[in-house]
Formats: sequence, C-alpha cells, structure tokens
Amino acid sequence: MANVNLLAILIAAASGFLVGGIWYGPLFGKAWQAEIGLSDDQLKNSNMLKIYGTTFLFSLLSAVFLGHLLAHFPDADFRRVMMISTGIALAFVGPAIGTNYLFGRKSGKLFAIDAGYWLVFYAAMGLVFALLGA
Amino acid sequence: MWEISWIAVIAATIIAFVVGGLWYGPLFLKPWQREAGISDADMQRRHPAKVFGGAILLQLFAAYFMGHVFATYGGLSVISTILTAQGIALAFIVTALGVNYLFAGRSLKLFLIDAGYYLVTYTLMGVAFAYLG
Repeated sequence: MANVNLLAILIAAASGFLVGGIWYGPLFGKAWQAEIGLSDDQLKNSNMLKIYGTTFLFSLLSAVFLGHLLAHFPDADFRRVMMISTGIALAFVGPAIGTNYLFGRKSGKLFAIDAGYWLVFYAAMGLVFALLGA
Repeated sequence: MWEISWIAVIAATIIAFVVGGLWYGPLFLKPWQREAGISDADMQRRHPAKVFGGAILLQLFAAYFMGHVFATYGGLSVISTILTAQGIALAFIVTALGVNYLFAGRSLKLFLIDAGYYLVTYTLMGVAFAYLG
C-alpha cells in the first residue's frame, strides 16, 4: 500500500516539467498567453524561482499520491496503469478546472489548453510508474 | 468495478452545488469576484444555462468516477472512504489549480478560495459515498 519507489516518484514529478515546457512553450505558449491576457513584460517580471519551486513541490505531491494509489494495484498491467493515471486527470482534474473556468468566465480555449496539459502530464506520470514500478 | 451507487453520485452532485452556492455566495462571493476580476455587470451578463448546465455535467462526471474508484477498491471503511476522496482533491485537484494559477499570475487568495472549495466539496462527497455508496 505504501509506495517507496522514490526514483519513480522523482522522475514522474520531473516529467511534468518536460511536458509543461513543451506544452506551454512551442506548442501552446502563444495561445495560452493570449487567453490569460499577460504581456511579455508581465511574464518576464514574474518570480520564476517561486513559480518553478512551488510547481515542483505540487508535482511531487501529486506523484507521491499517484504512486501510492498505483501501489494498491500491484498486478495492474501497462494499460491499467495508464487508464488509472489518465483517468484521474480526465475525471477529477479536468472537471474541477472546467467548473472554475465556467464560473470565472475563462475561454473554452484556455480550458482546453490547461485541461489538456494535465491529461498529458498524468499520462507521462503513468508511463513512468508503468516502466519503473510504483 | 462499475457497480456504482447512483444515489451517492446524485447526492455528491447536489452536495457540490450546495457547497458551491454557499462558498461562492454568502461566504466568499465578494473576495472571489475581486480576485477573479468578475464585476457585478459580468455576473449579470453571464449565461446561467450554459454555466450551470456545464457545471452539473462536469460534477456528475466527477462524482460518477469517484463512485467507480470506490467500487474498484471495494469495502473501504467510512474513514478510508473520506480520506480517499480528500486525497483526490488535495493531491490531484489542488496541485493542478496551484500550478495553473501560479503560471497565470492569479492571486494566492483566489487559489485558497478555489482550492478550499474542492477540499470541502470532496470531503463531503466522500461522506456521501461512505454512507450511501
């Protein structure tokens, strides 16, 4: 039940940075920036150390819990591990962000970018745990 | 695995709306409006049918999958059920909101309001599944 594969947890959390760098960089960086309405200057002035540091802690927390959850199903094959991890993004993260964005009058495009990111991030974490074990 | 208690799913959905009505109503409406940049005029201009309809569908979807999680685990105690529901909110939803809000430059206050809503709602959804699921 308790997961101890620290290496998998660290790599899973770090995979979020890789996916995020591509997702919010070359892929959807400009579209995302237009939707949230931040200028280049505003982005440059944000405290990147704080943002990336906190993001890594959040990613670590989600990776610990995902590993903990997957450790409940030691016999899960590759497909099942991927179904569980992407299912979390699809069933819980996506709806929560969607509800907030609906009430917060954010665009469907921003929702698609942000919710899509979590789906890809959780798929990446699932892949890490599937390959390295929870 | 898919023997899901519809009563608990519907109860969990209703709970989310009751908590939401209180949370984004008497409790934190004003700070939320300020932090989210939603003016009173915006509040009147939005399309309740689309917003509420969409929110109901999303919440039903999440509650249904929570039912699937509990049906898969099978036979969890009341406390484990509630902790599992809380764990989903804390580990997966709150962390996702946190990252999105940090990069988008949204305020800590907005994060606390929105994250708090999901922690409270998922805790009570867990209660619904613990007693009705």
